[in-house]
Amino acid sequence: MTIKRKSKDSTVFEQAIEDHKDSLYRICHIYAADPLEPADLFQEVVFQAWRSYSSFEEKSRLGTWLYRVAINVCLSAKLKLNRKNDITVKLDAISFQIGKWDEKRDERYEALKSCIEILNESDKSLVVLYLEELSYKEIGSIHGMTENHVAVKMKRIRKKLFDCITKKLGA
Amino acid sequence: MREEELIKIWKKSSDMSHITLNMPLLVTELRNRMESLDGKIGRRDRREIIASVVGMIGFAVIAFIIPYFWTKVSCLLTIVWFAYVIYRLKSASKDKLPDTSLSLFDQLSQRKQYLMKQAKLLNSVFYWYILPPFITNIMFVFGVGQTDTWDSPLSSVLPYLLSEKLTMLSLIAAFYAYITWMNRQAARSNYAPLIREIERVQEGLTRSEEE
Repeated sequence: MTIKRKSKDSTVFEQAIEDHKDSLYRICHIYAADPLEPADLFQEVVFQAWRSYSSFEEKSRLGTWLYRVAINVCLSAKLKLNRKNDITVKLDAISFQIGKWDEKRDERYEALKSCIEILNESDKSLVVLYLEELSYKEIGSIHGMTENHVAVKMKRIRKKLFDCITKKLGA
Repeated sequence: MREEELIKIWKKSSDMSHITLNMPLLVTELRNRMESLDGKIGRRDRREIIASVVGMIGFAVIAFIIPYFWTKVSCLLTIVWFAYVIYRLKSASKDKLPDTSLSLFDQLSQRKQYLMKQAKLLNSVFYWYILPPFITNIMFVFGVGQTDTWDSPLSSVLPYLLSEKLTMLSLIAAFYAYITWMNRQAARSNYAPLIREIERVQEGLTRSEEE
């Protein structure tokens, strides 16, 4: 019965990854630090999501659940918590083509990225989900916090982010 | 700058990254990776058991052929200790790595608990990994009797004189002290900073913003 459910759901999993690949990659991009590339982290997120997929209980949206896995994997990699389970997954089924940005866009994104990077780890994990336009309820469920607590925290983090980016871009 | 603009900059950042997923291949590859990971863990576990069983057989043979009573007893106790070490390491490796699908706070708590257990295992090495074999070593060395009572190739390497016994035990004690120090050092340098880092992130998540 369980085996049947798992094999049936692999198409749902595939679709969810396809739908959220850009969002997941953006999160990986923020957390990637030398020697890990965003592509390495992205592949690890997909692999860990697949490993945990059988335990997905459909209490939340599959998309929200994927964000949860992504935040956990990325933060663990950043804090180097995975001594036993080093990130080594290379999946040939995923290919990356990274193009070049125009200068203006690059400058604005780099300013945003550097402002996110100066936040502490817990604030950073909240803000990336906020930028992905997740609701406070969803962000709360990912972090194990109440919706209200997320709202209060986001008010302060948003102010910090805006102050920083305004200073950087001078606008 | 407005909020919408910020979100736009964020979302546009992935415009230049084209990720192509070959879905049929991806699922097959993910299944293969899972199987290979499980296989790797299984092989490592088998290796640990085989090495311990070989050690147990070795001590059983010595216990059988050696004529000295206390040395026999020490060999049998060493076999019991080998079995205990296998059990201790097995139960430690059964502690699963945290589930990445839990909420961030719960996952960090689980991970912290896992790291604390590992650190405790290393910090307590003296009591379960060093002291029991050292006691059996003392029994073994002092159990060895006079050389003329037993004619065997093994008898040429056993310590018969008190000075030989003390020298051997001193060397063993120094070696064990080094292992204890190495393990405590590993607990301090590998686990303690990670535990502190997790606590810092958890504190950030739970801190009230009312100040």
